[in-house]
Amino acid sequence: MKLQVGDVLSARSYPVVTPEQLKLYADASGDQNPIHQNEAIAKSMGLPGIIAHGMLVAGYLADRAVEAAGGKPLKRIQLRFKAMTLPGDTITITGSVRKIENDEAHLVLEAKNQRSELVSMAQITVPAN
Amino acid sequence: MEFKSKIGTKSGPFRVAITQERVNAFQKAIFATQTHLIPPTFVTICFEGITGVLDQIGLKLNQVLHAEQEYIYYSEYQAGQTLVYESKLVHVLEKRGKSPMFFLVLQTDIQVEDEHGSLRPVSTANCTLVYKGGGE
Repeated sequence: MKLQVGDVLSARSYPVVTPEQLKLYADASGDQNPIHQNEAIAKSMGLPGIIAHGMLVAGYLADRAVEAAGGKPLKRIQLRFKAMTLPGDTITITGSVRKIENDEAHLVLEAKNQRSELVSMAQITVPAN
Repeated sequence: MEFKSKIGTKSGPFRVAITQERVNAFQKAIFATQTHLIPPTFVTICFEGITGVLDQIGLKLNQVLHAEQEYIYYSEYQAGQTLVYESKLVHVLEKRGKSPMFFLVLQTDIQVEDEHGSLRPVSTANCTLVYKGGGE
């Protein structure tokens, strides 16, 4: 399917974030920073409790972009982390096609939580065709 | 703290084997739907160079915040292959004020080694970390 400027990606909501998921992500990614798994250490660092890895939600954004590109690999992804995600949060991904240039589509995707707070945003370049 | 003089600090090369089990676990953790590909953010496993550079410039991972991340992709790779990577401090921006903030950009060059031992570029990762150096 050919992407066109103005195309809006259908929103995708993810299951609620759980400590078990963060443990699975920590083991798979190798990021064992205790702020993602140990409540006491997270609180001692001034956090409200354990928080999700920013790159976990980035994984959602990248997966949605691959799907939008018809399953083709991404060319580039640029992520900005805006707010923390905690266990109990539900993330929804939205996005649109902003520009097509040289057979590349430039997408902007956003991840928001159940309070509609922007958690992270991504500019992603994918093959346009 | 002074970081400008630390630009160029390198850590690596490191090697990490890509196993199908690890790819599967990563896909499961992010609820991947595009399971015909290794997830684009899987290269985040090339992590040791970041902690290596931070260690050399006197910082710990829990002292910095992850503000931005960029990946530029050059080629695909597969389970059974090995990623070889090296990280380097490439840019420092200091915002002076009552509580100074430092933006540190660490670049990681990631290559894949195939079964014949030849290397091919996979991705360039640019990681922007924020260090709040208040009180120093």
